[in-house]
Amino acid sequence: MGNALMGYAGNYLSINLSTLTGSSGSIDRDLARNYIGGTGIAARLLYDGQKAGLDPLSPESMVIIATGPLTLNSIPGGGSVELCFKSPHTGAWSEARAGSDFGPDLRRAGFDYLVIQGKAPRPVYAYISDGRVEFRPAEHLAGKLVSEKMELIRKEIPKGNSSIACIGPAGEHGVTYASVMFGDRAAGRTGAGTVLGSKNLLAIVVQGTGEVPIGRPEALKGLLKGYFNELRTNPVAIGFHDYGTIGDLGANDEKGDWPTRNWQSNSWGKGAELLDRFMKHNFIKPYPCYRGCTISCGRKVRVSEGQYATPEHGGAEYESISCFTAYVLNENMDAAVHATYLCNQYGIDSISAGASIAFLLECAEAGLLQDFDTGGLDLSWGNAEILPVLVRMIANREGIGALLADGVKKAAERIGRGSEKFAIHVKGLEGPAHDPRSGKSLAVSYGTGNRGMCHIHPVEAMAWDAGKMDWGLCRYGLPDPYEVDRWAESGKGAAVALMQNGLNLPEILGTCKFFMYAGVGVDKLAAMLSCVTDHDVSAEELLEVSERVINLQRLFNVREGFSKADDMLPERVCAVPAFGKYAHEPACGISDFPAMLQEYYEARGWDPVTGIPSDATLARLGLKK
Amino acid sequence: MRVSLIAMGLLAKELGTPEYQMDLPEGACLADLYDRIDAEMADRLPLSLWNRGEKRFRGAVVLISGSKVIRNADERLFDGQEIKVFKVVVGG
Ligand code: SF4
Repeated sequence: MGNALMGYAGNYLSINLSTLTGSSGSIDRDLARNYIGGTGIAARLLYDGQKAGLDPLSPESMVIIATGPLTLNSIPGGGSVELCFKSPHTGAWSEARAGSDFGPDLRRAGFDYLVIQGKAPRPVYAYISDGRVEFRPAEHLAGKLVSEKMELIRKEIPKGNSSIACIGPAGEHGVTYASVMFGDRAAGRTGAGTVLGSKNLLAIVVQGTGEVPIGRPEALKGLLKGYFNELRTNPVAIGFHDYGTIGDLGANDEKGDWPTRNWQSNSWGKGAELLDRFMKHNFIKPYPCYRGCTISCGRKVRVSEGQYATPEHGGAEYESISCFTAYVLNENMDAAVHATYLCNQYGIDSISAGASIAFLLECAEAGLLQDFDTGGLDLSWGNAEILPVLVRMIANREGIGALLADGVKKAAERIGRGSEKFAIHVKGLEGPAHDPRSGKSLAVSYGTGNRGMCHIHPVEAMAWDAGKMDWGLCRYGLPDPYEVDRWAESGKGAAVALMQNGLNLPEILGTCKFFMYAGVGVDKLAAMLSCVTDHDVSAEELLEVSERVINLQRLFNVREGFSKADDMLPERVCAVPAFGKYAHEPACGISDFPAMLQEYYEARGWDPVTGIPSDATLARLGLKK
Repeated sequence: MRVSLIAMGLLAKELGTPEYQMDLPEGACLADLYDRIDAEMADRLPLSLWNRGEKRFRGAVVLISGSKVIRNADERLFDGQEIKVFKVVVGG
């Protein structure tokens, strides 16, 4: 035990798909100390191991599937896994998280992370178990839906605990925002499934019997007992359990945090009604995404009859449902549940899919699609019938679906005629269902998020500004949210930098951030990490690791050609809403976004003119360009 | 019997008054409390929070008494009970 790296399985697995070989190596101690794990270690590996400008769909490109030292079933939120790569959708740094047993099972199989490169000569899946990898033919899986693939694979592997990651037909067809599915959970955004599809890797199975060595098991047990006890009566934990992420549909609509009609407004007035409908007709029960999650924010749902009949499945997340209701003015909840189910079955990101459809509807309304064959579809706002049809067309790159399969930025470039003003994205990533006009710090998060207009890292800005949450970060400099005016722009830039440092930690440590919302804040994360690794770490040190990782991801983007101009928001996202509850509220617009960015750059120690981390900042964080 | 309803956090701010006393008949349950809320407070509660037709909270509203979560309409309440009401952020 003397030399073992406590809290780590201790090894990584390098997979070369071109030669269908795998080789393992030991985790580097310095890498583990300075970057910890998850997106941290992955950022270092990608920055060092992948040359600038590389086509993410070329065989040489890397996909890193990473866990962190807290990726353990016994840890609150410890059923997590991160996929990191250069995005084929945006060309930028990318990470996509999924909640599942895959992360803990990968560590039981002996590996903290996988580095995947090359291209298999024919479709394969990788079976990883107890320190070994085997490549199995997968021609019989090609073209199958996600649940079909998983069912077939399950028949081919030994019984017992195992986890499967797999892509759907969309990943095989090169939809640039294809997801990787872990059961009903998606590593959805930015095209991890596209990269795996380009490598002919249709699935990965992990199965293991090992144990990760824990530095101070008794002390950890004591901490966990207390934390789980607190979680039992934590209102946020209960709220997530009882209502799921979709529970905010009505509240967000009311507070102007619900992008509507392709972002023409931030409220619709139908959120509460749609939520009622969902609870009555579609919701079955809560479910956890990994063995041991005490929150269980997942929803088992179905559509029991009619044209949108859908079997019981895990789904109907807030983001997915919003993109198939408010974004496209669809009032039919059954159709939304069905369309989002199809997104998971075909393996496409439901946010980018819904946003792309909303963009299409607006282009159709403006008469910009004369040069495109729309297949006779009635592309009217609110037409529920076209939603499942378009999801399938996107996934299969059929007809007008092929135009949407590369996302709104590229679709607007092809359509031209001023359609780019309808393309709501940052760095090429379509906007998720939170609206910065009603909580201005979110604007800075959307602009500066390293993977673009992201629903994971920036979203806490809205939860602080309008939801008055603080995750225990006030002690480390975050202003008290109750003292903050959500409509104000000034002072938000510096706060966002601190929130990003804090709320990026779950991605680095390998946990679910919802537990941070439920009181497992930075101090508790530091305490658990210290016990797991037998290496004392303070909350301040953790925040600095996170800052290092964010800066390194920024450097990755700078090297790929991204600049300050790519931090800007679409004009529409800054404009006072065209209709809805806040249409005549001048404060519900963003008047000086460049000034907000400036504040953020200063707080980060980035050059105010270029937005690039300064030499002094890099030196302080132990980074080099 | 008398039950106190205590709005917590953001909800207290939004409602202006954090604490409400509700007189209920002996043996009343959560459904009776909801009837009273509907009669006395519904016009102050936003649509996203209160379902007037069905007389119940809607969305992510959590009721906690002591260390017990109160969920079921037929849950019996008691004199002097303090029920904390939280409106929580859950949208992911
Ligand atoms: S809270 Fe939800 S997303 Fe997080 S680990 Fe539990 S079930 Fe998964």
